[in-house]
Order: sequence, then C-alpha cells, then structure tokens
Amino acid sequence: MNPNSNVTLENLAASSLAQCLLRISRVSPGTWQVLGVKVSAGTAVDAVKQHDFKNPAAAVYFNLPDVSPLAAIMLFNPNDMMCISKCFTGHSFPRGSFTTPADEVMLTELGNIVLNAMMNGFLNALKKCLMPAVPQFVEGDVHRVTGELGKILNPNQGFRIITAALALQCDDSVAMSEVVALLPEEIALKLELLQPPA
Amino acid sequence: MLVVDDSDLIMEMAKAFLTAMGHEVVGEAYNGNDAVKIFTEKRPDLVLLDLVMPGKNGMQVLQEIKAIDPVVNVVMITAVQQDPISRELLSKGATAILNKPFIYDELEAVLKQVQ
Repeated sequence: MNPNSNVTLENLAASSLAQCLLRISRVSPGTWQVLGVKVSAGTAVDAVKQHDFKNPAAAVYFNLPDVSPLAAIMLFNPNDMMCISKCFTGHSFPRGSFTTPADEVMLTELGNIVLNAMMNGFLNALKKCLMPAVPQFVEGDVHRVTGELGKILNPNQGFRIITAALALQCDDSVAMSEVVALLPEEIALKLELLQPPA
Repeated sequence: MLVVDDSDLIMEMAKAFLTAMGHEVVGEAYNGNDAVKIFTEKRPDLVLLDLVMPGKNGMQVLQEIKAIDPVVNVVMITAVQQDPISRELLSKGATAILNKPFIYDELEAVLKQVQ
C-alpha cells in the first residue's frame, strides 16, 4: 500500500465528513468535528477492533451491495448516550442500564446520515452509484458486533479501512465516535487514480 | 399529506413540522409496501418519501405512486446524495429532494416551492 495513496483516501473522507458535520452542527445544538482520519488494510474484524471495547459498543452499519460489497460502520460508547442525544436532538435521553428503543432509533438515524455522507463522497468521486442497504443496529462486545457484520460481508475479506474519529460537544459534555468505511481494494485503487494527492 | 420513513425520529419530526405549518397528515407509512397501499387509499396531494426503507425502496414507491397519480408532488427525504441517484429520482418525477438532516425552515421552503 502506497502511503501517498492513503492521503487521497484520507482527504476524501475528511472532506465529506467535515461537510456533513458542519451541516449537522448548523441544524442541531451540538458542535461536531472530525478529529482525524487514518487508513489501514485488514478485515472487518480488524476495523471494528479499533474501537475501545472497555464497554460494550453500539454500532450502526450497512453495506452497499456490489460485485464486492462496500460497508460502513459507526461506533459509539452507549455510556455517552446523554451527550450524543443532546448534541443531535437537543434532548438528553436518560441513560439507564440498557439501550432503549428511542436510543437505538436516534443512533441509527445519526449513523445513517454520517455514514452515507462518507460513502457519498467516495461514490461521487468515482461517478458510481450504489443504493445502500437499510442501516442496522447492534450492541455488544467485539464478537457480537463482528458477528453481525459477518452477515453482510465476508469476514475474511481484506479491505482498505478508512477510520475517522469524531468529537461531538454540547454544553460541557463531549463524546467520541468512530466512523469506518470498508472499501474493496479495487475501489480504493480506482479512487487513488481519480484523486491525486494535493 | 402522506409521510413515509422507516425512522420514528424522522417520522415524528416531520409530522410535528407539518402540523405546525398547518398541513394535514392523512397517513404515515414505515415501509414502501405500506406507502403504496396508503397512497392508493388516501390519494394525498403531497408525499414526503424516504429513499432507503425495508421492502420497496423510495425509488420503487415513487414510480408506483406516479403511475397512479402523475401530478402528485413527491418530496424525497434522504441522506443518500449520490449524483446519479438524485438525477434518477428527479427524472422519475420527484418534485424535490430534501437532504437529511433537515430543519423546519428547509422543509417549509421546499413545500412552498412545490405547492
């Protein structure tokens, strides 16, 4: 993997996400920003393991069916629910001992918006169009999350993994989230050819 | 007006906005199959339609309801902003596309534009 190629993918992801988060910041009470983007190579399990699983994670994910499917995942710490909900909806959802259906709906819609923004950026650069699948939600440890991902893609397939760290802030509370795109190598290579590093 | 979205969050927000604007919501559907069924029964003059949904997607629903009523206004609400998909929605008869997330003023502006 050419390190310069990674710069191209990082720039595309950072630009798409920054535009999306600017819009979310305008229409919601929170301040949203991209802290950084990095690119690596590996499987979906490698991608998910980048999250800190000290607590069970909440994840929103979908694939974009193609000859070799693309996928996108957004990972949250459910203990940040009050902050996330305040940032997105303006209302703090009380954090109980489990994730409620309202929490799940809110995280799924947030994931839908942010993940599509990143994938839109890659696909528009390629002048390619893929209808995403309906976003799914899962909560649990790394095995539970990767097990569910294994239902929508080959868990042994190698991908280019683009990971963005996001920060969201409202009043004095701050939460973090990771956004991950899994691109088949042939898609990543096409993007590198289309978008030379600045 | 018919509101179609599989997300409770968007459904409740859209209904609250529409009611505050003085529109009557005559039906709500959480998937594409129900959307076509309710549209056929209620024949609203305007539909707010999500694109990615369980069952029939918004593109399929758009085609079916435009076949039933070619002059109905359909505003697509979606996070999918892929240029070829947007062009196809407009070519199949969508009146406008509203990007998620949206606020009251944006929905109001789109509805003023289409009515």
